[in-house]
Amino acid sequence: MELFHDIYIGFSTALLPSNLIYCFFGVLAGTLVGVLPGIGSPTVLALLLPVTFHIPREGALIMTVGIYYGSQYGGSTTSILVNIPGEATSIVTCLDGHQMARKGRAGSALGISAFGSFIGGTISVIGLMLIGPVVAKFALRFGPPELFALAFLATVLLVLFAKGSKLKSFISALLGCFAGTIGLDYVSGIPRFNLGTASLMKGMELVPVAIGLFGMAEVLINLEQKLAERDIFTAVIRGLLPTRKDWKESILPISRGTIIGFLLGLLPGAGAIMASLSSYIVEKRLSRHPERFGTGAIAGVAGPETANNAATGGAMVPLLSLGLPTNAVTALLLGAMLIHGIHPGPFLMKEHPETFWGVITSMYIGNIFLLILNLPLIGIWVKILKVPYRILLPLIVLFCLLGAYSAGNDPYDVLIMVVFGAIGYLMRKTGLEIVPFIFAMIIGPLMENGFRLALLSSRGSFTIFFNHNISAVLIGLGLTIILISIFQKWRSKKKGYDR
Amino acid sequence: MTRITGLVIALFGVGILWEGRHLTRGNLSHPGPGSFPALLATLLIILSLFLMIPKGKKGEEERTFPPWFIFYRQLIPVYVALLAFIGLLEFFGFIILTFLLMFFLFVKISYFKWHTAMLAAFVSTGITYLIFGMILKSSFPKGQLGF
Repeated sequence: MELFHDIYIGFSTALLPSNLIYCFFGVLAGTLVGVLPGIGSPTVLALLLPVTFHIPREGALIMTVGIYYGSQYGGSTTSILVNIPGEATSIVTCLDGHQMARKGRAGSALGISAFGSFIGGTISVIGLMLIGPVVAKFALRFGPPELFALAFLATVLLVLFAKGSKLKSFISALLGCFAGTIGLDYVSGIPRFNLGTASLMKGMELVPVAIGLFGMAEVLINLEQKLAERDIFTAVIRGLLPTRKDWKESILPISRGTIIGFLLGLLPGAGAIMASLSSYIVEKRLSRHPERFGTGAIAGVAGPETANNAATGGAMVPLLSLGLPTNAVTALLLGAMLIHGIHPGPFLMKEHPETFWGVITSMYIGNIFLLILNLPLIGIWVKILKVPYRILLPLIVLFCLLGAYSAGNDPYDVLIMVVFGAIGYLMRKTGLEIVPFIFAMIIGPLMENGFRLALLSSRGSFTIFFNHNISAVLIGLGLTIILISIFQKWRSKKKGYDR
Repeated sequence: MTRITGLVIALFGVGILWEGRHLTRGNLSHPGPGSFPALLATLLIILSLFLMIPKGKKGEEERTFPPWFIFYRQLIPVYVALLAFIGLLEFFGFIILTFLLMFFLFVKISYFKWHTAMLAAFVSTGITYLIFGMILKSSFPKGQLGF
């Protein structure tokens, strides 16, 4: 009964005309970003964060969350029509989606992708509504040792699931943790690493750092490449509504994709990329005709596209219930919430029920908007795909400048953005992942404060982390994961030498 | 490149230790503000050593830097323009400087002819001022000329 009351609160917030408009603009911007290859959702979220400073709290969060799940919809369009993933989460969609387009079935691929995304996105919101409050109530028991343990486990998982070298990802996370220490120390109030400047006393703002690392670095990477025109699918797209045969072949992959996506979305670091990849592997294994995968199997589009959208709902559970981001986008969403004076976590549901439930229920409405946007407006997305990169890049630079400046109306933030643009470029070139950096920059202070406050209360005894059941389990899990991955690495090296 | 990265990170770790030398590290029962950064710096130095150790076999594929001419033709001019933008913002003000920067970027990156670049710069500056300055009420710096 309480749940229905909460849902009512949520819908009465989300259905306000102003919030409907913010939701619409959020999903529209997200789809646009997803459609354009090379401009990821973290980039655009970082660029659009300053816009949200000027709008009311609920509207701002509804819009930013809309950008997140909207981008997952748009990513498939580019994968299917251009064979370039608009988002990293749509990489596997290229395999069968583009093959379907080449065989004249672009409409079916786009249609099933939109419906699958809608089903996955909507069901994952139901999961979020059911699980989120339970996790939040459980997290009320968390003290400093548990907070440290949670941040530790999240960092371990993030490094484990990182794309490239684990060592470099760990280094990246350490650098991010250090960036989080700049400014006034929360416990003692002493300034740290501010280089004697007043501007750094308050610490480094997330927005200019994120805009630099994602947006400006993206521009630099594109500048050094030949800005070639994209080979775009030019045939007329027909038959967007899936046929009965399409549905028959897709319904089970969509169901499985929803479950896989939601569960993997809960894990830090795994998220939507691993969800879509896992769904593809599962579908190929379960298929009676695995040889059709890679040549235009509709199940290879339906499953992964459903899974990457279902993962967005899953990723919102730890964010809203524990205040724990699980990927770059949710890290930026956490930043947006903090800027608006909202501390996501177990108290959010009690202190700001209209925000908590308003954001969740807006995801239902946003998913309906996306279905409307994706199918009839496909022609417009194709036209947008034809905008040359060389025209887009100066506009992205302008957005980077505006975004960094509007964060605090301080030219110093623009300088930080430009500096972090160069750092982001160098990090990409040297294989240091940006996601662990930005994640650790946000989670680092939580880890440090939890660690120090726990030791203060136990008078320096490390047993505090193991006397508390929850922290003991979380730390134990983290250490086991580290040991297993070291063992696996050692075993694979040994096998290599034996051969 | 991996070894150079390792060296830079190690030096950065040493830099953190040096810059944080005045911060109290405390002890286990009272960890001071310098304890966590010192721990991070130590871990960074240790891990960077693993990057510096030469590998017997070819490691992961490295993302290579572009040729030097790309740097000085594309990346450096854009960066110099951005730094000039920051340095001159208080003097020239947002509108004039954004127009000039966008004109430069449209010529340099988009390869527009000067009159097209000027029009594109005018439109983009105007739209952003309309949205951010007038609708969203951001206060942009007004230069010596008063706008």
